[in-house]
Amino acid sequence: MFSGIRRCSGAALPVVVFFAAFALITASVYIQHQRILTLPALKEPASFQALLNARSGVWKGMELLAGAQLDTIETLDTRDRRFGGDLFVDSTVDTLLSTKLSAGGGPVPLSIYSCDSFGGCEVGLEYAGATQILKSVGNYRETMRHVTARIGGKVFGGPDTVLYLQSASKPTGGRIEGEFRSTAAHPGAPEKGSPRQRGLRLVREKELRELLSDYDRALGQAAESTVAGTRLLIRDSEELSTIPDIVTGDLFLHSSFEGLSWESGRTVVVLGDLQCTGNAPLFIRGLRLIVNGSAQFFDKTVLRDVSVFTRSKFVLGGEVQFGGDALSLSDVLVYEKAFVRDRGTITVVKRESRSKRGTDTARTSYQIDIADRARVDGSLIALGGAQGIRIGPNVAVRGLMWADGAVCHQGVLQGALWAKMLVDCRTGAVGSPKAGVKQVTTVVTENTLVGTIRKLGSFDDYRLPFFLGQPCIVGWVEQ
Amino acid sequence: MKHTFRSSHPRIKGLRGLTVLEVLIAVVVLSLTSASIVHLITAADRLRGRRISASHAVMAAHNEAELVRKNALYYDRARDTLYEVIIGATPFEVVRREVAPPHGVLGPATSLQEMEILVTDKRRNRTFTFRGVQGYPP
Repeated sequence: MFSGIRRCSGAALPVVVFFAAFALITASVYIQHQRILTLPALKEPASFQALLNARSGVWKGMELLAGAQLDTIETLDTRDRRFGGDLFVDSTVDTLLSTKLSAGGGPVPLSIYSCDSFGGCEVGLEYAGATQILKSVGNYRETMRHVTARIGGKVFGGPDTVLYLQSASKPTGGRIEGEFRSTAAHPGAPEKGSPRQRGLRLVREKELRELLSDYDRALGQAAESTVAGTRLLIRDSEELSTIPDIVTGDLFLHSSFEGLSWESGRTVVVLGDLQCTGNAPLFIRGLRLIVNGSAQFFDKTVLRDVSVFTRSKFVLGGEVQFGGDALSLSDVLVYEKAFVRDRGTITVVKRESRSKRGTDTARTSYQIDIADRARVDGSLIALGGAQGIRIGPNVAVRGLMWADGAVCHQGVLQGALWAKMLVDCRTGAVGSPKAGVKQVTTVVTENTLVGTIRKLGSFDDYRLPFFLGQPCIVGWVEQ
Repeated sequence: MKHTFRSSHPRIKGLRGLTVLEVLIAVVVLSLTSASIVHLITAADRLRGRRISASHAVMAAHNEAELVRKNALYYDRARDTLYEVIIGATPFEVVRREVAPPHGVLGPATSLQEMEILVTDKRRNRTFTFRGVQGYPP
């Protein structure tokens, strides 16, 4: 024992220094650990404020979209750095007086609070098929948060009302399990004209016009930048990646031997016709298709989250499943066992310039024709035409139908229907229905319902395109 | 400086001892180290307190903001409120109040509501202030 003491003789200071250093290192490691844990937590309030700014930006953007362009010069808080400054030389004064938000116009900085010490946000608007995407980036100090809102339209109606017609006469025949309401009874609304001419403001013309201009611009730019090409035939999955963003001719997708799966967030412009066929499944997801000609989908094609614009016919046949939104400037035909699913929307717009042509005034075919054993879970909208929608006798529709013109409803609708009038189109019209085929109609003196209309409990979940009804938020993502 | 501890014991003979100076230096080093360690631990504890305080305050504010959002779905406009909540073992005071909307020639923008959420950590007497705008469907 004493020999050990002898070896340690005079070692008190080194021992103390050793243990002191050890203790200091341990304490430093502990505080560093706490610091590492604390730093993200200390950023939490800033991150939350940035999130609130991004959310606020969405609501401010919605206010602007609803037509309430800022009519006020905002008040300034005494804590605002601009307080006491000369507003007339402030570069931000323009944004205070008038802020305009338009799709594709780039992000717009918004001053969201009466005090700028809480940060700000930038809001941008983009088209996404029948909906619009409002992107808001909130910032506070060095923290940024993103909120993306998808905007659709909403029509407010009575909870038990299933049928809205312009004329006051209740339809004869058929079966209505719910209430009927005449839109002519609205106080102050004139008796004549389509609903959108009568001050009901269901169709927001400006937004619709801008959307169509955007599609026209995309097609025009594509046509100018390329020379006319030949048709493109795609037969297997490997060839899918070779499809360019602009297809100068027709595009055919055929899945005869193996299934095809085309999943992409791309926008593809087709200057010719688009056709999808084949005995094997053909799965298309997430694409935005802008077609100059007709868009026709047959057989076992499945479309999910797809946006289709076509200047000509839009056709779903065979066992096609369509989930997404379609906008056609001509006719829509859904027949055989085709299925519009996932609360998809199909819209047909008859442009004013087209309707002025002599041949169009005499047309009696329906803008939207749902025939055979087709099913629809979504919204059918026919704008601008005298003959709106025809629903076949074996067709089941769940959702809503909206037509500027007449509707011939022979099937079962669970939801609500807005139309100018109801007609019975069985008279004289025989044979397999096809889009564009003229059908003989009788002079309508009263509303006639052939099919059934029932109330739908989850009707509020069905969305309209953003240019119909009141703009509302149908999707919300925070990052 | 080297001194020999002299002992009558034959085996302890020649063993060196500790001088007063050596002991003094050791005590000073020990004291300084202890003081530093106490300071570091206090700082670490303060950091931990700030972290917990900030996290809990954000949690309380987040809860309040979500409540306003939920009520907005039912067109229920948020009114000013004040309450106390205990998170962990710490009492927090939550205040939510409306900030007057901007007025113009057409009056206030009624579909938007600017509000402020103040969360005070009553133990540490620290206040976190947040501001947001809630929109209401027409």
